[in-house]
Amino acid sequence: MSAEKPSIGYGTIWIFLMVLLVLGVACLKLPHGIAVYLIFAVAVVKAFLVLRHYMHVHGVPSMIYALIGIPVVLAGILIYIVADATLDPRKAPPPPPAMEAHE
Amino acid sequence: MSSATTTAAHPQYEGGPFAQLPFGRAGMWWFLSSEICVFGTFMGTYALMRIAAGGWDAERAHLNATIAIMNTIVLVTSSLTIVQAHAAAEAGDREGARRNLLITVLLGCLFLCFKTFEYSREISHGFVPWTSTFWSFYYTMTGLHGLHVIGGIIVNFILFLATYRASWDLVKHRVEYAGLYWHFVDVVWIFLFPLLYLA
Repeated sequence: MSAEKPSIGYGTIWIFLMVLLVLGVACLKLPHGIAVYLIFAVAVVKAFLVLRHYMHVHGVPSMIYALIGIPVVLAGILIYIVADATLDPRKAPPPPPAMEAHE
Repeated sequence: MSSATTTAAHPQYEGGPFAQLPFGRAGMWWFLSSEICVFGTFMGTYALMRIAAGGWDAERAHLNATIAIMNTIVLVTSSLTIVQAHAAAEAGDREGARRNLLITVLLGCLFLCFKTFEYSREISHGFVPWTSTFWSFYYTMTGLHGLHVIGGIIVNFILFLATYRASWDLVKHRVEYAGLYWHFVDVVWIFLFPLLYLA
């Protein structure tokens, strides 16, 4: 965070965030496939506004960007690797052997 | 940056990748970086399991989106008040910082009240963490987020009390670091809300 006077008032950003909240909820009226992408696009914009204007992530040393970006990239790689194994049925582990009935 | 000079209450790096960055701010960003890993892993795993399980639409239909929307409004508003507390602290406005910190604490408590009501409603309908994988994820992610909210409330309340007696230079930087943490908690909710309730 910074002591510099913000270019856009904090109250204005709050209004933007509220409008985006309404937009995100309104996306539910759209077909599911499109709505999912729009809802998360709205969430990303909201997060960007908070980071940029409330957390003042601009003009900070590049190491801060690395601290934010590296975990996101690592999480993305992890999700990609796990997704490949989770969602592809051919790569699913074989089912356990059937139990023999006891007489 | 807040200041280019190093003081006893506000030491900062002289060179290297964190040049001119106060120790406290650098430390807070390191901490938040580890938190991104924690919540990122939970959210990523949830998304994958949900896709693999076909969407969990039946379970998700029991969630109350209205309470979640109210909680989003509360948390986003608390982000506004904590950043105003920091701005007031930087301006030397002790009364303004104190007032905004108190409002932030109260809004955090309101968030927890709504969450408690939501939990009690779901538990009364028989949805507990071991009911299914979805409910396990739901309680784990929102519970972990709730614990972070509780932590933020405690820190903000301590800072509120500190405005009455502690050195102002010390307090104003701590308000900044507490603000970074509180905004992070807000950003996590910004993603949890659509992930669990909307999409």
